[in-house]
Amino acid sequence: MSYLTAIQSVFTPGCLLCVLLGVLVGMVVGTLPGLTSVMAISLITPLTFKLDSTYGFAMLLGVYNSAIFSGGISAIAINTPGTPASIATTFDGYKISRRGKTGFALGINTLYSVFGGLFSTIVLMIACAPLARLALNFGSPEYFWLALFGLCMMISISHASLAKGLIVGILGMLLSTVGLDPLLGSKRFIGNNTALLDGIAFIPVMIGLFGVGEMLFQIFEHKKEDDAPRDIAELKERERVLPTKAEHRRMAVPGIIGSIIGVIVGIIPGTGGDISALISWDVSKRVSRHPEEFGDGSVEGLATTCASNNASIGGALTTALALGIPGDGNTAVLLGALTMYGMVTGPTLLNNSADFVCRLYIIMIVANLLILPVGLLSAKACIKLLSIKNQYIQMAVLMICSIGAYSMNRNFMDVIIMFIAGIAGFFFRKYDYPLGPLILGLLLGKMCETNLRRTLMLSGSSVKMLFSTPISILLIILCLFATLWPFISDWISKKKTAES
Amino acid sequence: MKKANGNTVIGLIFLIAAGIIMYIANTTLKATAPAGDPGSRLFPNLACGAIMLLAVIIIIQSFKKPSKAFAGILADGDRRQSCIRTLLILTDLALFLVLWNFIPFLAAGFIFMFLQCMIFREKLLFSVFYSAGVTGVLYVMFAIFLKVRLNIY
Repeated sequence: MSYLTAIQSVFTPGCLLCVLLGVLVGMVVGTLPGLTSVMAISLITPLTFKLDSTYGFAMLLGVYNSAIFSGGISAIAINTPGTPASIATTFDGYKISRRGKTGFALGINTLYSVFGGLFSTIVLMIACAPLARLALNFGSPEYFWLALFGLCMMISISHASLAKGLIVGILGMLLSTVGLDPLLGSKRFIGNNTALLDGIAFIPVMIGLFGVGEMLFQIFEHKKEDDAPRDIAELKERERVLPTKAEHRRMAVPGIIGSIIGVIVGIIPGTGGDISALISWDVSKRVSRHPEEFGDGSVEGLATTCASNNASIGGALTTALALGIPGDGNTAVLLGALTMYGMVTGPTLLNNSADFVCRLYIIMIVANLLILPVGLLSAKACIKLLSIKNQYIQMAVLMICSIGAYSMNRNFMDVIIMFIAGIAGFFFRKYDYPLGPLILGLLLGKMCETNLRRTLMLSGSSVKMLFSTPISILLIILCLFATLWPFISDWISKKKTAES
Repeated sequence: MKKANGNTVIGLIFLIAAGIIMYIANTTLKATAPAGDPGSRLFPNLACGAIMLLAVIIIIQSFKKPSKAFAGILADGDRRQSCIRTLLILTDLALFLVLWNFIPFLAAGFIFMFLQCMIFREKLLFSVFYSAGVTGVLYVMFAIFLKVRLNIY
């Protein structure tokens, strides 16, 4: 009965308008590199307090879903993830875009983000409480193995050379040690520079490597033929936004894999769309019939990452609503907004405010459904934008990157980090060093170190604790599989070739 | 001996940088900490050791499979033009970041965009309008709508 009432309260012109407004704001903020979904939700939250709680959350959830989805737009169009959740989208999305199929890549981003978002909402509706309780079983040993599992992805992302992929990945891990020691609080590698006390921020490095580095590389590689008008057939191909039935068949399994992994990883506090998308990309590559296409413009790779980062939203909300634990910045702000509306967050929320929670589920569905037309229309508009000469885009992107790096913390050190990362990104790109592992190392390095050291402290330097729970054992098996599988599959394919 | 190529140089940079960082870690960070914690320097040391090992592998590989040296790239006329253009854009970006600290964002942004247009040999009138347009739109979007204080001087 409560779902029926919830539908009635959400499907009103005012509420739908609030969701739409949220979707549009989230889209603008999510597309701009450096402006994260947390920032978008934080900006909108004070405005929503003047509204009824349902209308307020309609706007906030619209922003949240849309910002995560639209981070993929800049990842596809200019190789600069709008939000960290879209890092993995650059692996294949940008390659598809470089072949002149930007609209098509944006279409996949829209369709599979919506699919992932709806999938996770359904999971949220069915299994909110039991799944959240499962996430509470994660302690420091499990977090350590989870981080290590993520780091094993470096092997998969290193297409050209394993040594090159690993060296930049470990460089990322080394960079993650800059700043205050996570357990002792002592300074590491920063001297007297207080701007680096929190460590090297992840977003400026991401903007520098993917945005500035890519633009410098394009300027360096520019050829006169690039400015020549394109033929009609190519322009027709550019116009296409929706995938064909055959393409959907290829993307269905990776889309489902991405959604499932997105929900699971999203539920675990401290993780999010960035990690889930990377894991989904790797798992989909392993089960794909065309693993060689991954990282080189694979539609499967793009679909799985897009589905995964949006599916993580439902996962994160599961922990936030059922247990009152904010898994990331987004859910922390949302829980803060709930308390401002006078609701008591925590395990009692699902019982005491059951009607309101039902309305949230319906709003999630509506927000995802609204992303569909808005996303597809924006994909069409983006195609028109791409008829602009490359150099005009390059010039503007360099400026957007600089402002984006600064906007996050209003810290000029972040702009300097972006500049240095941009130069490094250019040389890495020039000499075929993959950029993904560096981001992976920077993202997971601190999580890996902190949880390993915490486990050793808790166990008095004994490593037994690392192998003590079933979840740890499962994650160790996954780590071993992730590390060894590329070599085993290589060996099998070589053997098959030799036999044939 | 074969001529050093880009990968050799990058490998050497990694090797030397990791060596220096390892030295700094060992001289400035504590080796152990109380209650079973292996200390602050464990991870940096492990990472530096791995980087040095991989750098050696990359250097060896670069001699086996030589890539084109930077000097070779510069011998090509078109490539030389691209290289100079990239360096100029990078210098312009650095100049923008310096100016941003001393003059209002709108002025610094306009100069940055205008110089970029000049580097790309755009017409003067177009350069003025394009630079003013892009800077203005970004200022309105970030400073007015998103409340980011862009004037930091």
